[in-house]
Amino acid sequence: MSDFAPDAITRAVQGDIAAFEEIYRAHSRMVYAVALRMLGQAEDAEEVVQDVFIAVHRALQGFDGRSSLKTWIYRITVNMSLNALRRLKGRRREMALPEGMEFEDSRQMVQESVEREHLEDKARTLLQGLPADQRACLVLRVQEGLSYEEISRTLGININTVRSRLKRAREAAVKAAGQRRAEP
Amino acid sequence: MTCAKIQELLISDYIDGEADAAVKKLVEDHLTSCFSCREFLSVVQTTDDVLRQPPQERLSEDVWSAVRERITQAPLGWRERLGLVWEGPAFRPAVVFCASLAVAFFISGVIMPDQDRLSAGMGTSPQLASGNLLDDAEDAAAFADDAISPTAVEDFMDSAGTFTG
Repeated sequence: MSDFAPDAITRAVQGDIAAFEEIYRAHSRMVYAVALRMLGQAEDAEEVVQDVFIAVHRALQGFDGRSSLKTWIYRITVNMSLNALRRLKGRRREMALPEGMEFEDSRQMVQESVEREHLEDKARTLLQGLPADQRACLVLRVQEGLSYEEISRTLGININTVRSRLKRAREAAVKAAGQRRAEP
Repeated sequence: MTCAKIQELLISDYIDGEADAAVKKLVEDHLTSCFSCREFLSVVQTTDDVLRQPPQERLSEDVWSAVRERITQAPLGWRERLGLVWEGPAFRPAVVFCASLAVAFFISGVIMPDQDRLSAGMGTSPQLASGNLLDDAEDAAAFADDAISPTAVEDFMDSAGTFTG
């Protein structure tokens, strides 16, 4: 994640669009990655990115700094992704193949691309099979590297709830991989 | 500790680095002697590795353009920031009324005094005698240049010309 100037928030609140762009550049990759993992579709994730930053811009004045800006933006992103999931629920949607793949003129690069695409498909399938609350915890933990405490603060849930959601998510993932758990 | 209990730790605190030193040692001691739990951990780690891959898709630059457009289309002015904007249905008629009032004051202040003077007797006005009403009209038009349309200025000049002619 790129950095932004310490006074960027103050300047953005005063209407400085360049300062807000700094904040956008520093967080948009993370917002997009979470939204994409949550929703599975690039176009849906891009809509969420837009909505998240519009919401951030509107609410920036009220940002009290008690949580870090990053945690605050994570929270908005997860909530907006969950809202988008609710809106999309029930729609029959076909999984699109990843867009924008660049084929290099090299057999090795093509092979790597195919492997990455395969992994990408696996990750997508795995996540889309999970309930949204478990998916959010798994994305924040594994992809974004947040601790249980940070996930707890981001999602506003008890730390034991974070733990149990992660357990259930990984149980499902392991089961999908064909691995059986030991009987209790 | 049973394999079931160890595997419960493997899919949460252990793999997530949240286990304390004692629990970590307990799990690792178990793993050295249990093939099925090592295999189980390997599957969990592979799954996490897959999820850890950043998405291939890159965020389009168009998204920032769209965000920027949406922000700049509806910027927060100082009135909005101070909560002074009343967005009720009567806001627009109020603006129209105030504008009409301002125009009425303008007309009564610039045109009517001259008309009064004209109606009082054209011969008694030194300005009219010297043809200076046209100069006054030009001054008024220059003063209100930004406030009224060119057509309105022309109309005003015509009417002033009529009186001086």
